[in-house]
Amino acid sequence: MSLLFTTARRNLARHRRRTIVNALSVGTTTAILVFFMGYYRGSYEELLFDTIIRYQTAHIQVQRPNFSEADPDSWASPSNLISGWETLPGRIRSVPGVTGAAPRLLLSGYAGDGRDKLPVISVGILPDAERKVSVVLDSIVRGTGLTSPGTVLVGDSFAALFGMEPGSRCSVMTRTSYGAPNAQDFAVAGVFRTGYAALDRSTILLSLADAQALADSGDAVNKVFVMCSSAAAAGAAFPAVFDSAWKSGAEAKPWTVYARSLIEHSETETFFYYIFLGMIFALSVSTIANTMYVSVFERTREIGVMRAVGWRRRELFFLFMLEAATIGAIGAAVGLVVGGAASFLLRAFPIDVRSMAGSVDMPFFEIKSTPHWTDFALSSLAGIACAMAAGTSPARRAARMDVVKALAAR
Amino acid sequence: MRILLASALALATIALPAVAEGTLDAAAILDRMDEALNFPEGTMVVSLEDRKPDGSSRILRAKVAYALDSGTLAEFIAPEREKGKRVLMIGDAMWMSVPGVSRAVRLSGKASFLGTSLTNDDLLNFDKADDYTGRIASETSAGWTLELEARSRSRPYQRIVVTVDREFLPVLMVLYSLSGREAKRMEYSDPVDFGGKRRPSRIAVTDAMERDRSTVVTFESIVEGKVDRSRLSPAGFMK
Repeated sequence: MSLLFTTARRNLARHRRRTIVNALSVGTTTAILVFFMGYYRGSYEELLFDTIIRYQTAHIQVQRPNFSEADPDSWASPSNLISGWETLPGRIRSVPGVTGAAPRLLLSGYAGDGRDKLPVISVGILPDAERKVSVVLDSIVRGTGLTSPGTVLVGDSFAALFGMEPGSRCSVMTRTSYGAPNAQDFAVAGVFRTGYAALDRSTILLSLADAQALADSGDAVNKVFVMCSSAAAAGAAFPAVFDSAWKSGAEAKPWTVYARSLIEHSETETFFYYIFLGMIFALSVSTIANTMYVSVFERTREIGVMRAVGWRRRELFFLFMLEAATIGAIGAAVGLVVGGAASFLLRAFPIDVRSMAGSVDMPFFEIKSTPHWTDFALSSLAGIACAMAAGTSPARRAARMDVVKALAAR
Repeated sequence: MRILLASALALATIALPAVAEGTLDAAAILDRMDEALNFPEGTMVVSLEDRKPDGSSRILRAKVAYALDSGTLAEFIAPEREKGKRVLMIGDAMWMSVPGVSRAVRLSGKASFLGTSLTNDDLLNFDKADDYTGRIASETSAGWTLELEARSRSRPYQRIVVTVDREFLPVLMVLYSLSGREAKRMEYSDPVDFGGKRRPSRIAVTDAMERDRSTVVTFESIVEGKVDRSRLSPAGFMK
């Protein structure tokens, strides 16, 4: 066995350039893989999904069964209103893992300065409860919160479009629960900036009582947003929240239902990343296989001599596989160092892409990485597997070589 | 004696409408206004000029076939890019078909009509007496000002203040939403004789949410008569 190792080491040393090319090929695959896994975990699983939960969907939403996000005209219709909801948030808050439950009245309509208007979503809230499920009230950059009736909070993109400041007049129009349009003028109490275009440009916050008056909906709401301590806690709390909702004639839905397009987008992006990784893997296998074939061809007489002095076919096969595995191990080590360094660097210095958040209409504020030891284990295994997959065919060819023909080869 | 009787009769004929007008209540004035504005069935050519806040405007022209108890079909004849587009309105429902597209799109009838300041209801529902109860707020030699309250909360405007002239034609209609805020303002002008009936040929509509924008509706022609009702249905309007 030690002879095998010694011979393999010497062969690799003899063909140093070839060994380096092969190791770099494996290293590139490993580096990209280890970096990608950390990037995906950091930028998607942790940051993007966490941000969409905090900025938009919360962990769980409670609504009437027929409520459809796609039909904003019907949001305030009687069949979508939860009446007698007052005890519901309290019951939900008592579920282990739930950190906040806030009623909302979502209304679709327009808002503007009376001279022009934009389509917006007006959200009636109870500020104290709202703070537990959303970041908006903590993002006020000018003015105050909703401290008095007849006031609204607007996003800074919306405010900039209409030249609004605290104290300005903001006209809000929506449909009542009877389907009739209704409009009212409010004073701007404050301006918030979250960095998320959907909120900063197209969302108006007002007190629940004002929203109910505007929608002529009595004391009803159409949503209860539920926040949990973590996504795992939300999964565990979901059945109990669903039961509480059901008792009020409503049902609960997890955040993944509302962020479906975002999840699909990330899945599509991941799919293309895997295709890219697959191509790199294939390229790496091909490079190593080619150079090892050349190695087998160049060492034909040497293989003949080895067979003539008593090396068995199996030993020759193992020799070449050992060389491939060593190349894989060296390459994987190089890849782990390079990819790991890049991954840790991105963790230490995330890239701020807040300015892009408006154009992509996603709460995507940073590109960052969260490396994990499993990334390194999986990537190094993949690197070695890549080299060994590439070495199998040339090793087999070397092992099957006829002794006489090999010795006669020039 | 005969001369005296004839004179008395003639005087009564002239004076009676004035006496009747003097005793008219809000409901009667509203009925007369509805009657002056409404044609039960017919065709018309309408142009809609949408004036935008930046000073630009676009003009849509449409041939309209309508039957008060069935629906309304508007087929656009100008501008070129809108030509052939059809909009069917039945109650609150609205469908639109575009040339070359096999399926009609369902739109909300309470929404803005093709991006103008009008809704379907504004454009077609001239029958206020059915939906509103009224009182006379003031009366002058020029006409009356009526305050109308919606009979149902589902009406687009909960309160309307309308100025009606002595010909029972509306002059100005200010429409208020549930909150009491002014929602829209419609100015009626340029009365024209359409088939023996005088009615305003021009309505300028301003949305109080978009004061810098307005839509002017001009009735170019109105011909009362039977229309092909088979086309006033979602299945028939695309044919």
